[in-house]
Amino acid sequence: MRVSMAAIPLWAVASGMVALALGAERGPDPIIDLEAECATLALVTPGSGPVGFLDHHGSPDALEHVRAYYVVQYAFAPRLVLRQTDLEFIVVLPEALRPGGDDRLDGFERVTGSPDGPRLYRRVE
Amino acid sequence: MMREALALLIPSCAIAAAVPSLVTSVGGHSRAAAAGLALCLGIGFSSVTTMAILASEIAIHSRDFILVDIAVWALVGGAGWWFNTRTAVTRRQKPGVVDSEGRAGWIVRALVMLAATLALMTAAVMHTTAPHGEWDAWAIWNLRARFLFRDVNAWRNAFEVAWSQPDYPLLLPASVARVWAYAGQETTVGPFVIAVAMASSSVVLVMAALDLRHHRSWLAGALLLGGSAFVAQVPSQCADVPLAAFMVATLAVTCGHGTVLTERQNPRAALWVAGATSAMAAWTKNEGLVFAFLALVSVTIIAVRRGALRQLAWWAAGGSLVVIALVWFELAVPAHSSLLEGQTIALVGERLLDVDRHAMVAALMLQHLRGWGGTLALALIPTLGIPAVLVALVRGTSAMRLAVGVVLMMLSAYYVVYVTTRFDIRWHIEASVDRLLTQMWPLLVFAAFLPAARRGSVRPSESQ
Repeated sequence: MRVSMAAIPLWAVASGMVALALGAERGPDPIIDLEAECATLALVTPGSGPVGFLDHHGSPDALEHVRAYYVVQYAFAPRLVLRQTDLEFIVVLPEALRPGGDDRLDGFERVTGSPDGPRLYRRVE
Repeated sequence: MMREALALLIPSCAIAAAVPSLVTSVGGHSRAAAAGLALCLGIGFSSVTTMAILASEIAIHSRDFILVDIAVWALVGGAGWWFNTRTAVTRRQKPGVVDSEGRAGWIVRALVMLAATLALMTAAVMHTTAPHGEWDAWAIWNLRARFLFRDVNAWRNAFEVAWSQPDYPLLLPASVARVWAYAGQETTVGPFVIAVAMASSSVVLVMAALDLRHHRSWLAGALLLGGSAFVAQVPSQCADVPLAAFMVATLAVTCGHGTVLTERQNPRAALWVAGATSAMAAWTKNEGLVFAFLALVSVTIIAVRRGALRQLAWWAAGGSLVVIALVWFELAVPAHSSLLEGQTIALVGERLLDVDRHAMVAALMLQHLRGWGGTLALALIPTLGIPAVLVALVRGTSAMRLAVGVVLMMLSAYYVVYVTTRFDIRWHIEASVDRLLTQMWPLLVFAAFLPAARRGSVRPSESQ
C-alpha cells in the first residue's frame, strides 16, 4: 500500500506531463480553415433547401474527400448537402475538379469563393 | 466561457436545491459528490427540457428560449426548496474510521490535484488545436447541435444525414445547443465546457463513492487521471465521456460508500438518482441502452433479494422523464441504426457460430485492451482489471461483484456486437473500441478500488 501510495500519484503526474507535451506538439486540425471558408459560402445561399456537392473526380470515397464533404455539411447545416449536381447551388472544392476543365460544371457560374478554397456555383440554365 | 458555465450551473443548482438528499446519496457526506451528481443530473434533465421547448416551436437561439429555460429551472429549484424547508432532511456524518491525513496523505492529495491540473491543461491545449473536436464530434454531435440551434423548423433535417448516425439520441446535441443559447452564439468552447464538466464529475464521483476520507479514494483519482487516453477524449467532444459519467454515477450511487448496497437505510434518493442517471446513459448513446438494461436487471435482483420490490418505484421515478424523451425520440424520428441495417436473426446466428470471426474479434480486442491508456500508461486495463476480477471472485463484496460484473457484461456486449457486425470487423473495432474502453475506464477504476474501500472502512489497520 505504501509503495502504491507513492508510485500511483507520481506516475499520474508523469503521465499527465507527457500527455501535455504531446498535446502541445499537435498541429492545427485541417478542418478549421475549410469549415470557416464554407461558413462564409453558406451565408450566400438561401436559408433553406438542399445544396449540392461536387464529388472528387477520381476518388470520391477516399478518406480525405469524404471528410471534406462532411465538413461542408457541418458548415451548411441546417441545409442538407447532397452529393449531386442537379441542384441550384453546388459547393465545389478545387481538388474535386478534373484537371484541364470539368464538364460537370457546365451550366453553372461561380458565385463566390477563393481560387484555392471552396467555391459556390449557381445554375444559370 | 462564463455564459457557457452559467448554462450548466443553473439546472445543476436548481436540482441541488430540489433534491437535498443528493448530499447523502453517495459518498456519505460528500458535498463534492453532491456537486458531481447535480452537474450530471442538471445536464441530463436540461437536455430533456431543451427538446421539450424546441418541440413547442420555440427557437433555441431566441431570447424566448432563455426566458422559458430560466423559468423552468427557477420553478424546479424554488418549488424544491419550498418543499424541503417543510421537510426535515437529516444529513448524517457517516461513521467509520478514516485514514490519518498525515504528511504522506497530504502529499498524495497534492499530487492528485497536480495531476488534475495537468489533465485540464492537456485538454485545454488539445482544444485549441482542434476546437471543433474530433471527427465524430463535428460529424455527429456538434453537427446535430447546429441543426437544433440554427432552425426551429429544419432541425429534423439532421436525421436525414444518413452517415451521421441519425439513431443516436439527443442528450449531448441538445446540451450543446442549450449552452450556445446562453452564449448567444455558436462557440467551440460550449461543447468543451460540457466535456470538462462531465469528466470532472466522473473523477469526483469515483473518488467520493470510494470515500474521500480514505487514501484509496485519492489513489483511484490518480489512476483515473493518469490514463491519458481518458483525458484525451475530453477535448474530442464526443459522447463517450458524458456516457462514462452517467454510467459511473449510476454505479457510484448503487455500489459506492454509504449507498444502496452498503447501507440499507433509506435508499430512496440513491435509487431515484441511479434511475435518472442510467436513463441518461441511454439518452446519450446507444451503448447506454445496454448499460441501462444491465443496471435495471441488477437493481431488480437486489430488490427481489431484499423483498423490497416497491423500492424499484423510486428507480422508475428517477428515470421516467428521460425515458419519455427517449420514447418520443424513437417514435418521432424515423432513424435506423446503420449497425442493424440488413441484420436478420439467421445472419446474426450464422456470424455467432463463425469461429474465425470470434478469433479475429478476440485478437483485436485484446490488442486494444493491452494498448489503451497512453504513452506512460500502457496495459492499464489488464493490469487493473485482472486483479479486480480475481478479487471479486475470491473475496468481493456484493457491491464489488456487481460493479465488476457490469464492466464485464458491457465488454461482453461489445464483443457480441463486433462478432455480429455487418461492417468489416477490423475497421469497426479500430474505429470504435478505444472510445468504448474510455467509457469503461472510470467504471473499472471504481470497481477495482471498491473492495479496498470496504476493507478500509471495516479494518482500518489494513488500509495503510
